[in-house]
Amino acid sequence: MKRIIVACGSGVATSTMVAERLKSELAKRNFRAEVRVVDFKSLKNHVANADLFVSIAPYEKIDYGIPVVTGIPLLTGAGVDETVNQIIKILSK
Amino acid sequence: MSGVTFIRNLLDYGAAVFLPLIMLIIALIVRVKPGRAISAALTLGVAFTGMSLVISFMTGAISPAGQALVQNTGLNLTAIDVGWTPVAAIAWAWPYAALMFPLQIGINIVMLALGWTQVLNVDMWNVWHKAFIGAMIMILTNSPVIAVVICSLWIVMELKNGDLIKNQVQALTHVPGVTIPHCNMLDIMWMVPVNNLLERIPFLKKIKTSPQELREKLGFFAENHVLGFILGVILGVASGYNAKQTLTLAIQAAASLTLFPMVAQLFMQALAPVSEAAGEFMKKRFPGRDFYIGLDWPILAGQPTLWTAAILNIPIILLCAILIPNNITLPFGSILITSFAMAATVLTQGDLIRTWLLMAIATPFAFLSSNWFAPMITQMALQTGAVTLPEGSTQITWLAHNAQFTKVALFKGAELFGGKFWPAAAIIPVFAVVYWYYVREMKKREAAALARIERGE
Repeated sequence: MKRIIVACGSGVATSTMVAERLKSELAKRNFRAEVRVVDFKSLKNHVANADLFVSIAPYEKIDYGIPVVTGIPLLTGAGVDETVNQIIKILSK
Repeated sequence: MSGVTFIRNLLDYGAAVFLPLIMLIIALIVRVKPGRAISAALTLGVAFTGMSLVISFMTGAISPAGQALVQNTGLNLTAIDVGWTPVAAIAWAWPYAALMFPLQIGINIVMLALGWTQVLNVDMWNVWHKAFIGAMIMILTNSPVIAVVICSLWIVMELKNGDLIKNQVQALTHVPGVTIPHCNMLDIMWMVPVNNLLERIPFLKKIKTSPQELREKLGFFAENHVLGFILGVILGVASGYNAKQTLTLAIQAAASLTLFPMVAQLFMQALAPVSEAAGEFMKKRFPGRDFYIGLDWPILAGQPTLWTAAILNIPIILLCAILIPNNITLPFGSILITSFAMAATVLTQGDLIRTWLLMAIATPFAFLSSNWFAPMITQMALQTGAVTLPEGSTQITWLAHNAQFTKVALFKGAELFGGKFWPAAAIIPVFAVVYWYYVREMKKREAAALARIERGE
């Protein structure tokens, strides 16, 4: 199963919020993927085992070696469909 | 059994039983599907139980070391800094915590309707700060009316603050249409005068830093387990522990710092359905209007300056713990003072040297307020039953108390209603002047930030 990671400052609130929203959106579309919440500070340890990183700091110019998608729409609620479709498209490749 | 005694009995069962029921009712009111609502409610009970387990584990490991430290060195560090996660659990356990949701949503809607703010705050997680303030004011003044008034004032200040920093947030993050009405950002107001002085020092401008490179080098030390282990070793050695005791303590400390966020995640999982529904509810009220969506602070988490400065500030925290007269705070859970780091990062627009200096200057004051807060947080923890503490003199406290300067000002002001006149008489005029200067300064900085955004920087 494809694995998505979401990160925030402490791996508690924002990332969990994004992950829960993403899980329910993926379930609605019958797309199976594991969504894992991690701590920004130990992100590097988790990137190696993931297929996609949903970032709430999309301005970062760091090459994580996996596709990065902005998670901001999952927080603001504007543009959720586009973001989820983009994630599914990348993971379906 | 009358309704009142029924509710009182439920309260007696403790937060882990009482709050899931409240959560279930709220979730059903906002039309979360019953299955998801029950799951969220149970998760909340699990979160409370998990949190009190980890807190007991941590205090059980650290407070004997703290007492050995007193005997070995004479340093009386008996109030353990637990960090924000246990404090959030304690705040949620306040019986009226859930009322803060309608209070925040209601005030926000009224302010938007009247055009007093452009911020639509969808961050329902940080409602716990309002619950914390309400519980504190109840301890200080014993008046639920004053608690509601102060909480309302706090919500207004947070929203107005979202307006005051929105362009600066965008210039830093390049995310359009969002802002951070998190209360931590209120402490920018106390940093502004100091920052203006620092900006005038030509020498500081010449120092070239690369926060990203430093972050990559130092980042290892910011990981919870590594940080916990190092702090455990330092505490063990300072307490005169032998090698076995020291290493055991270090692993236990590493476990505590690793487990806290894992357990705290459960709180957010429990809140997610209600939080989503509340966000949707608010957006539906104002279709087609131009907003700045209020988000929690981690949209700044990609700022290398924030983490680098927080790591570089650790030695200063340790020094303060030893050097500050009559200090009782044993720094642990908030050893990375992200609260100061995020405020300073926004104010300096990511300048590492000034962010670090602002943090270093603020840190001693953090100890003073954490020492002052310790008995109140301990009392709150015991009253709500969210935490059991080991017998003896141990207290808990929170070193990186969010928006602590603004909160101290507010609480000292609120003591007026508790019958203490002089602290309020001193603090209210100071606060008024600082706030006035802050608003003036932010208007200039917002215009400058907007110009940078328009130039595409």
